[in-house]
This record gives sequence, C-alpha cells and structure tokens, in this order.
Amino acid sequence: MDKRVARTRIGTVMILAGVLVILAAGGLYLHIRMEERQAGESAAEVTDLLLNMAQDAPRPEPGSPEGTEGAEERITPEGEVTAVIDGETYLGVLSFTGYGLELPVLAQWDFEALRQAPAVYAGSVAGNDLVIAAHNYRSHFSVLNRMVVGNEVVLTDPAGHAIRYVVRKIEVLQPTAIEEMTAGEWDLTLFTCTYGGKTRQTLRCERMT
Amino acid sequence: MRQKSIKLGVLVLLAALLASLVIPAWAALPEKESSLTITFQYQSTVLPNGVFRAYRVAAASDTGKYPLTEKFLAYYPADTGRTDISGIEDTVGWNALAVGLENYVNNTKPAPDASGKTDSNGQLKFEGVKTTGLYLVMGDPLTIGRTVYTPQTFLVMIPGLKESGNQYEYLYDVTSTVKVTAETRGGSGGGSGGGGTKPTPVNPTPVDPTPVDPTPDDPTPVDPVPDDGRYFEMEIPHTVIYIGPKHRPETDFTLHFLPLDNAPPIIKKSEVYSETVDPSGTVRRTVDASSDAPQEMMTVATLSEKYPRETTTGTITFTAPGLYRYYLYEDIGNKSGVTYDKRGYDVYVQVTETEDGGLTGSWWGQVRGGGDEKYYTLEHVNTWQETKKSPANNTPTKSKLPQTGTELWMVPRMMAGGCGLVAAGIAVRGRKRNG
Repeated sequence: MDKRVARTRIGTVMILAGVLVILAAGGLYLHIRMEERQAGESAAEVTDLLLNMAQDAPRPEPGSPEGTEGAEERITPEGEVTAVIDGETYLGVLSFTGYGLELPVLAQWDFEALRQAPAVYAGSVAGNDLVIAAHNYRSHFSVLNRMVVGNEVVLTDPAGHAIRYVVRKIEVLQPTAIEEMTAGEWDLTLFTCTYGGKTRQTLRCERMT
Repeated sequence: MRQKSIKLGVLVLLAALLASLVIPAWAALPEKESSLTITFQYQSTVLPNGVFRAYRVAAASDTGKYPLTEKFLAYYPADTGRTDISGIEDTVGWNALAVGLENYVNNTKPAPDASGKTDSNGQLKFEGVKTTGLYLVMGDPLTIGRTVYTPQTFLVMIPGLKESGNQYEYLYDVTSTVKVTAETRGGSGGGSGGGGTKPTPVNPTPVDPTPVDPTPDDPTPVDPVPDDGRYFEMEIPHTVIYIGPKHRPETDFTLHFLPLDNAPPIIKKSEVYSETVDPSGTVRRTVDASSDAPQEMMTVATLSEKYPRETTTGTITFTAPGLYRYYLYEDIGNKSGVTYDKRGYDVYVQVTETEDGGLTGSWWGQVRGGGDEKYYTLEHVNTWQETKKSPANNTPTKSKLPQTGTELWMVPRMMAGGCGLVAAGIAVRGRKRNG
C-alpha cells in the first residue's frame, strides 16, 4: 500500500515537473520573441533617423534637419562620420539588398549594445577591415544564415556616403578564432552565432569601388 | 576581382597618360631597335642649334618597375635599397622624378648616352638612342637676339604607345616635342610652348593681361625678377612613403618646406596655390596663408597605396647667386598605429652665374643632425602597424568572440524534457493501477 502511494506521488511530481518545464520553455520562447521584437523596433527607429540624416546631408543651414531631432553628427579621428543618438554613437545603416532588412550599426560594442543593434567589433571603414557583430535575432543578423556568396551589403554613413560590399566568402568560425576574425584581410566581416551558439556564422565581404 | 580592378585601373591610367605625356604603359616589351627624335620649337619659331643630351635612366620593363641603369643607381640613397623606379602613378610623380633626375645629373655629371644639336628644322635625332628604356632629355638655354629659350627637361619612354582603333601598338621610333619657355632680356615678355612632361613653370614676367593684384594689405608685393631680368627657376622634389599591411588606413601626411634666412619664397604673397585633388591617392598643395613672408609651401599627401608619392615644392625663383637654405620637415601626427618619419632636411640651393651672365643652380639635402652626407632624393618614410583594440574598450572577453546567440535552441529541448517527464510520470502512475 505504501509503495503504491509512493509511486503515485512520484508520478504526480514528475508530471508536474514536466508541465513546469514545458511552461518554462513557452515562457522562454515568448521572452526571446519579445526581446527580438523590441530590438527590431529600436533598430527600426534609429535606422529611420540615420537614413533621414543621410538623405538630408549636406545641410544647407546649421541645425538638425526634419526628422533627425536628437541626432548629432560627429567625425571620428579616422575621419569617419558618425551620429550620436540618445547618447549612443552610430556608424551608419547596414542594408541587406534583396532581404528587405536595414539595421543601424553602433560604433562600439558591448553586450548591452548588442541587444539594441549590430555593433562594430573591430576595425574601421577607412582601414578596410571593419568587423560587425550582432545577435542572431530574426530582426538582426539571423539573415546571415540565409545569405549566399554574391549578395550585396550597403553601409550608409550619416553623411549619406554609401559603400557597397559584396559577400565573397561564408565560413563558420570557432568562438576562439578572434585573430582569424579580426585579421583585417577582408574589407567587411559580419558575424553572429550559429543556431546553438557554439560557433560563429561569418560573412566575408569585399568593398566595391 | 579587386586585383583585376586595380590592374585595369592602372592600365587605363597609364593609357590616359599616353595621351598627355610621353610616358606610356606596356604589357610586354620585346627588344627592338629604337630611335628618339625631338623637336625644339617655341610657338611658330623653329629653334636650330639647340644643344640636348639624353640619358638612359632605366630599362623598360613589363612589371611596372623600371630598373635603374648603372649610372643612375645612386639616385636613391643606398640605405633605401631602391634600385628601380616604381609606383609613379600620375603626372605629379613623373614631373617630380624628372626634376629630381635633372638635379642628380647637374650634381653628378654622368656622361650622356646621346647628345647633339637641333638642325635647321629644330629637330634632333639622337644617334646614341638605340635601345628601349626610360630616357631623360635635358637641353641648354638658347639665346637668339634678346630672347632666351629655355627647354624643359622631360622623361620619355621607348617604346611609346600608339593608338590604333581600340588597341595600342608599340612605337619604337618616338618623336617628342620639347616644352619651351621664352624670356626677353632687359624687358617684359615671355611665355611657354611646346609639349613634354613637365608642367608649365611659373612665368616670372607674366604676360597674362589680368595679373593677380597684390593683396590690399600688402603694399610691397615681392617681385621675384629684378630689373636686369636674370633669374633661375627650380623645383625640388620630395617623396612621401607609407609602408604597412595591405589594409592600412588612408592617412594625411603634411610636409612643410620652409625658406630660411634670405631664401626666396616659393610663392608670392598674393598667390594662392592649389593643386588638383585625386580621389584615389591625393596630393593637394596648400599655402600657409596665415604666415608672413617668407612663406612656406605645405604639401599634404593622402596615402593608402603602397607606392611612394613623389611631388615637388613648386617653382622657386632665384634672382641672384648665392647659397640658399630651406628646411623640409613632416608633421608628427597622432594617427593610431602610424610611425611618422621625424627626419628634417636642410635643403641647400647653390645658385651660380653662367658664362653668359645667366644663372644656374643645383640643390642637395642633409639630414639635420645626421652628418654631412648629401642626399639628392628627399624622402619621408612612414609606417603603419595595426594596433590591437584595448580589451577594456571593445573586447571584454579575451579568449572568445562575443556570444551573439539567443537561447532559442533551449526551447525545443526543454519542451522535449518536459514532455518526457510528463510521460514518465503517467507511466509511473499507470504501474500502480496495473499492480
């Protein structure tokens, strides 16, 4: 009798635990999707501001053009034009031709920054060794898993200068391959985590003149 | 793809050079008997009895590098290890090279490979020019009546290229027209004419009907030419080199050429000097307008290519014999990763009288604080080395790339685990019923 009761109790606990795990999985899924959605909305707002700045440059008169309130243009020591929006410095907008995706690029990365937008991990535009990292959110760099060699990426700075890059190589790097990632052999490198997060999906791009 | 584009760009650039210069491009250079004929003419005036010399400076090559001939091997200082002419991409570079070689010849007096006088038609076919190569052609000033005709030194490559439809053919019998400036002694007048590789020099006695007025706040504008009309013009070339890995950043290097003591200024106070900006690798010249006379020339060279950028000071006009001194130095910038050349050169110009009462001169440089060694090429060599980003700024994790993945992959695993637990729980309870 005692054994039967014990088994019943064990079975009940297991069912309850299973249900809790299933609920937790559902919660995690919703949380991730909400985080992705927020990241997408935040990126879209900044993208609009940056593209407005790019469209209106050069400005005939001092002051912010319409639709760019809160944005301020700055020039780095390397001569790159950046924009400061809500205290964050942006390098420009990255457009993935044919995928209908436009994303702002933060000039410096940290883990918090990556939750908002793709960010410069290393290098510079002028040095032709730019490396940009981003989360593999559906609204951010999950597109890297669908892109193929020959696709075009355009980086538009706040002054309206557009630089075209073409994807020349796609590779998967180990998370420890920092030197390989930043060796400077490519004009532009984009990377994000592969599904599972163990490796890095990496697109190598060549700058077009 | 990029290399193809660069090669194509170089070919197009060199083909364009052919149209305006005598310096062509070639892909292959079969050895063949060659000749060089020059025409010495000022506007419609044919100039016979003009004395010219031709020096074979370098061999022709199909690699873009032209190995210097033995007598010009010392053109570049030995410590640079340079034994060929390479990397000259535009007219500025070729002009600067011509000026530098002219000065080298004036200083070292090598024997010409060919020489002669122009005939009654103003033409001279150099008998000694029989092989392909890069030739430097120099001539003496010719006085006819009160007018002095000064030929400009130029470089010519043999074989040249001849456009034939959409293609180019090698031209082994090259004809070139000398660019000439004319100046009438004891009065005004003058000008320039003809072709060649050097730019038209600043005319000391302008015939421009609308000369630039002196600035209102400058009551005594400098006139480089005294009443006796004697003057000597010179350009001093210098080279900026930028060495480093392939993807080094484009960088501005600013050089100053500062007249010292009684050295004449490079430009007049009222002049504003500028030069075309080339978007692919710029040399732009500006004048330090804020400084009082003597004014210095400031050259800003923007480099991202591996090749040296050769340029010149612009024309300096000397009106009296003497030893003049300039100081050439480069600004020490703060671009990250760039090591700037800190050498400063004292540049001396020795101006002397010629037998016919004119002026001539030569120059050399000495590294300030570097001994008495004379340099006939002035170089500033800059290097770039990639600097790793500070871990504090941009790489919080030293050993790994940032984790940019979401935890979405956990969801199906958790679902599977949960379902498994539920199933197991049901199974356990089911055994009770069976029992």
